[in-house]
Amino acid sequence: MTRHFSAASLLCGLLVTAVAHSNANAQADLNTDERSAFELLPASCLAVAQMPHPDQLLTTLTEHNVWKKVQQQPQYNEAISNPGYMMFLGIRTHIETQIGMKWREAYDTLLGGGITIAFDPETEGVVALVRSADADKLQSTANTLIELGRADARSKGNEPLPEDEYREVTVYGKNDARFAIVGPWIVMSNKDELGKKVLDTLLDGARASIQDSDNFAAARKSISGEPTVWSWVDLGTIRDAGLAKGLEPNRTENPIAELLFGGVLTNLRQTPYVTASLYVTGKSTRLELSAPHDNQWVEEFREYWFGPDGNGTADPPLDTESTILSISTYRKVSEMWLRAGDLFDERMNDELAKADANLTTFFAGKDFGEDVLGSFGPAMQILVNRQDFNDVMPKPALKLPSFALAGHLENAEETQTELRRTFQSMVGFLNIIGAMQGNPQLDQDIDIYRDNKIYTASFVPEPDEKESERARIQFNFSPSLAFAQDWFFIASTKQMAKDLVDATQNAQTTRGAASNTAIRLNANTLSEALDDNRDQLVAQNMIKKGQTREESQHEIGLLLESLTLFKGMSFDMKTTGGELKLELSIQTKN
Amino acid sequence: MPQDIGAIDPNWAWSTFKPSTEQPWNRRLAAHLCRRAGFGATSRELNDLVKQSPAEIAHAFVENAKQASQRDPETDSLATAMLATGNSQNLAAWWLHRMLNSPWSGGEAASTSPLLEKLTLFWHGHFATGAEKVDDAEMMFTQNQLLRHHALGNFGAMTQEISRDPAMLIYLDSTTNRKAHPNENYAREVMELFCLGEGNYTEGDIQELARCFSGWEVRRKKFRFNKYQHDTGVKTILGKSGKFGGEEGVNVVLNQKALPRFIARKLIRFFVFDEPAAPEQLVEPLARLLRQSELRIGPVVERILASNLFYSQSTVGRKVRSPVELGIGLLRCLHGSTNLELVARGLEEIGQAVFYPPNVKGWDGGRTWINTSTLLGRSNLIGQLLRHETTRFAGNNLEMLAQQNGVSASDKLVAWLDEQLLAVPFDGTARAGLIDVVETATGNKSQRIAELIHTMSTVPQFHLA
Repeated sequence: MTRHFSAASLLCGLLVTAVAHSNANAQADLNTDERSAFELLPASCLAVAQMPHPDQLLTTLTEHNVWKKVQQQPQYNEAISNPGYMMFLGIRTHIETQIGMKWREAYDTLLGGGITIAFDPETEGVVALVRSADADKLQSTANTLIELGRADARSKGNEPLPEDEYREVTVYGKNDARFAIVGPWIVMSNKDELGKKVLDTLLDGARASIQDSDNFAAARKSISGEPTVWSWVDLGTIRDAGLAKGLEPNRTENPIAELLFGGVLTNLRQTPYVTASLYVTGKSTRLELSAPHDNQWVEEFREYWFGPDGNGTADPPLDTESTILSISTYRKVSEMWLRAGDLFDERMNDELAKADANLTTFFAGKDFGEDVLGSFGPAMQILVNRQDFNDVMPKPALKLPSFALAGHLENAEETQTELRRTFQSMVGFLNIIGAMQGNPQLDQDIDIYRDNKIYTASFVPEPDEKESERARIQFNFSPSLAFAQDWFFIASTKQMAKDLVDATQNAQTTRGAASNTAIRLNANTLSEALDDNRDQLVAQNMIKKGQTREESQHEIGLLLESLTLFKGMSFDMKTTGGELKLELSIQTKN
Repeated sequence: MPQDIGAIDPNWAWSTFKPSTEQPWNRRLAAHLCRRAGFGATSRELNDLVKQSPAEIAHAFVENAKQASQRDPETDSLATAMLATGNSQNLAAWWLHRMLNSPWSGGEAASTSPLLEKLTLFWHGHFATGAEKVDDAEMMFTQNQLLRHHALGNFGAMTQEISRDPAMLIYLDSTTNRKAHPNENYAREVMELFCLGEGNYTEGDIQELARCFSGWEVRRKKFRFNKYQHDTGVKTILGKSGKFGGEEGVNVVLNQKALPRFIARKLIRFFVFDEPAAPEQLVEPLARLLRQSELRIGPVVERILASNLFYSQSTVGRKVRSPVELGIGLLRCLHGSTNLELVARGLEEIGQAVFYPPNVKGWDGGRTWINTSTLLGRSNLIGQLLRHETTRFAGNNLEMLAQQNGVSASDKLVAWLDEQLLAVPFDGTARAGLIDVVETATGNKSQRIAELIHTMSTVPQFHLA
C-alpha cells in the first residue's frame, strides 16, 4: 500500500512539476528527440544516477510476492480505510478525470523514458532529467496540472506558480527549484546556471557532455545486464580536488573495520571511478558496486588482505542444512598482526601489544602473532548454525544458535597438539570460574568421528536439572575442538563440530565462491532459529512495548512470517577482471 | 478534617463500612480502595465496582488474591523468558508487568490479582532482600514466588520458609553457620525486623536463636542442613528452653504475644495511614484477629479494606504514594501501557527499585519518599511515561482515552482525571487553572492532555494516596 501511495505521490509531484512548463511552440521539433540524457548533461558532472525504466520497476514492485503479502495484512486494510487516504483517493480521481488518464497510465507515459539525476561541482547544482514516453501527452498533462495547481493556490490565497522565460522556453518556479518542459524532457534543477546549460544543449544540439568522458564511457561499457538503477561517480576527479578526505592515508583505530574493508580502502585511494548497479526482479534485489582495480595499487602492508598477486580467495562456505550465517574470508591475520604498526594508530598499537603479551602467556610462551596466528592458513570461516534440541536434555530456556571458527593449519601435526593443550587449559580455566560463580562444570571427553578426533566438553547438569526444559543458558554450549585433515574447527557445540567435519568431506554441501569475502544468510534457518525462541521474543516484546501477550504474539508472528518470504542474503567481494566488485543480494521466494 | 487518631473508637474503626447519604459508595471511594489494595483501577473497573458493596468487594479481592496465590507459578512463561536472560533488572520489569496487568475481576484462570501483587510488594519490603548482593535472578524469583504464595496465608509458614530461603540467607551473610561461631545476623532480623520489633527480646535471645540456626547453610544456591555443624545443646529463647533446632526456634518467636501486634501495626501503616503510628487500641483488634485466625493474613486484610476507618477522613489521602504506586498507578488508572524497563529504571531513580531495597529494613516509606530530588524526579517520570514513544492509552492515545470515556470537553476531562487519579480532589480554583492548561497548551489533543496530567503531577496532592 505504502508503495502505491509513494508512487502516486511521486506521480502527482512530477505532474504538478511538469505542468509548469510548456512552451509548445518552441519545442515542437524536439518532440522526437532521440538523444540520451547523458548527452545532455554537462561534461563537468561528477556523479550520475539513472533509472531507465521506472515503469518496469513499479510493475515489479506491485506484482511482487512480498507486496501481495503486505496487502493481506490487517494493518494494510486499516491504512487504506484511514480518512487521510480516502481523501487522497478522491484527489487522485479528480486529477485523473482532468488529465484523461488513470494514474498508472500517466506514470508510465510521463516517466516511461527514464529519470536521470546528476551532480555538477562547477555550479554545485543538481539536475534531474525526466523523459516522457509521449511528448504530446506530457505537454497536455502538464498544462492541465499547472492550471489545477494555480487555481488551487489562488483559492487558498497563495501565490500561483511563477514563470519566466529563457530562450523562448517557459521556466517555472523560483529560487532554487525551477523546471521547464522541452519536447519529451522535463528539466529540473536547483541552480539556474546548471539548468540553463542543459537547456542550451537541448536547444542547440551537440556540446561537450558527460558521455565524452573516458571514465564514464569505460564505466558504461562495464555494465552487465540491464540495471534498474545505475550510477557512476568520478572518484579520481573528486580525489584530485581534495574532496575525499576520508580516503587519505590514515592509520585506523578499528581492527574490525580494517579486517573487513581495509582492502576496499586501498582500491578507493587509486581507482578512477566507482559504479553502483541495482537490479530489482521478482526473485531478488541485487546491489553491485564495482571499481577498476590493479594489483599494483596494493600496498605491501595490505597484502594480508588481497593475498600474493591479489589472488587470495576464500574457501567455499561450509554450509550445512542448519547453517544460518556463514562468513568466509581470505585474510592472513598473522601478517596483519605483525604489521599493526603500519595499519593502526598509536593507541590501538598499545592495546594490541598488551593483548599480544597476554595471549603469548596464555599460549604457553608461543609468540601469538608469529607462532599462533602464523600457524593458521589465510582462508578462515565463521559459521552460525541453528541447533536441534529435539533429542537433547536438558533443554535450555533460551535456545541460542551454535557458532564456530573454521580454518586450515599450516603445520597440522605440530599445531594440533598446541591447540588441544590450549583447549584443555581453557576448559580448566572455565571450570574454576564456573565453580566460583555456582555455574555447572564442564566434563571433558574425546570423541572419534569419521576417523577424526573431537575434543569436547559438556556441562554437567544438577540431578534435578537433567530433565529440565528450562535449563540455564550454559546448556546451549558444549565447547569442542576438532581436526579433519588440515582443517581445524573451534565450535560452541560438539554437534556443530561434527557437522563441519561432515561438510569438509561432502563436497556437495559446499558452494563455489571465488571471492575474497563471501557471506551467506539463510532466511529459512534464521526464521526457524527465531521461532525456537518465540516465547522469548514475545516476552521481550511485551516488556519493551508494554503490549499484551496477544498483541506481542501477533507482532512476532508477523515478523517470523515475513522472514519466510525471503530465501536469504548473500554478499561477495572479489577482485576479478581488473575490477574490485562488491555484490549484495537479497533473494525472495516466488 | 481528619479525626484525632487517638480518639477513634476501635469498635467503630474496624466495623464494616456501610455507605450512607453522608458518605455514599461512589467511584471516588472505589478508586481509593483500588489505590490502596492495588495500584488503581481503570474507569470501566470503577464503574463495575460501584455496583457492589464495599464489604463484598473486599471479600472478593481477598478471595481472588488467595486463589491466584495458589496457582502454579510454573505457568508464568513471561517469568521464564525473563529468567533466561539471568538479569534481575529484567525480573523487575516482569513484576511491574504483573502489577499493571492483574485484573480486579479475578477469574478461574487468573494467576495474579492487584491485591496479591500489592501484598507481595509489602512482604518484599518486610523480608527485604537485595538482588545486588544475591546476584542471582533465579533465587530472587524463587523468593518472590514464596512471598506471593504466602502473601495472604499463614505468616508462620512464610517465616519458616523464608528462614530457609537461599536469597535471604545470602543477603544476610548467613550462608554458613557453624556451632562454634553461630551467625547472629538472621536471628537478629527475625526478632527485630520480621516478627517482634525492638524491645521485645534481649541480646541473649538473639544469641540463643542463632545457636538454633547453626548448621543451616547455602550450598550451590540451595538450602542445606549440616548436622555436623548444628549445636544440639539446650537453648533458652524468650523464656522457653529445649534442644531447639531452627524450626523450633522460629516457632518460639512466632508464639510471642508481641508478634500479632507487630504485624498488625505494619499492615495498618501500609494500608491505612503512614502517620501517626497507630495507637495500641487500634492495633489490638487486628492483632486479636490475627491470633484467632492462627496468623493468617487474609482475614486481617479483608477486615481493614472493609472497615469504617479505611474509608474515613483519617485514611483517605493520608498516605504518600510510593514510586511504584505513582508510576504503575498512573498507567493502570489511564488504561496505559509502556516500556516496563523504562518504568523500572524510572522507579529506581526516585527511590524504589523493586528487587533492590535499600537495606534489610526495606523502604521506610511515608514522607521519606519525598525530598527535593525525588519530587522533581517523580514529576519527570510522569512526563516521561506520558510522552514515551511506546506509551499507549486505551490501546491508542490520550485523546482516544478521553473519547472512550466521554470526556472530550475540557471541564469534563479535568473532573474525570481528578476523580480517576487523585485521592484529594482539586478545589474550584485549581480546576479552573487546569482547564486553562489543557485549552492553551500547544500540540494536538493528546499532547495537551499529557501536558495537563503532567501539570497535575506537579501539585503536592497528586502524590497522596
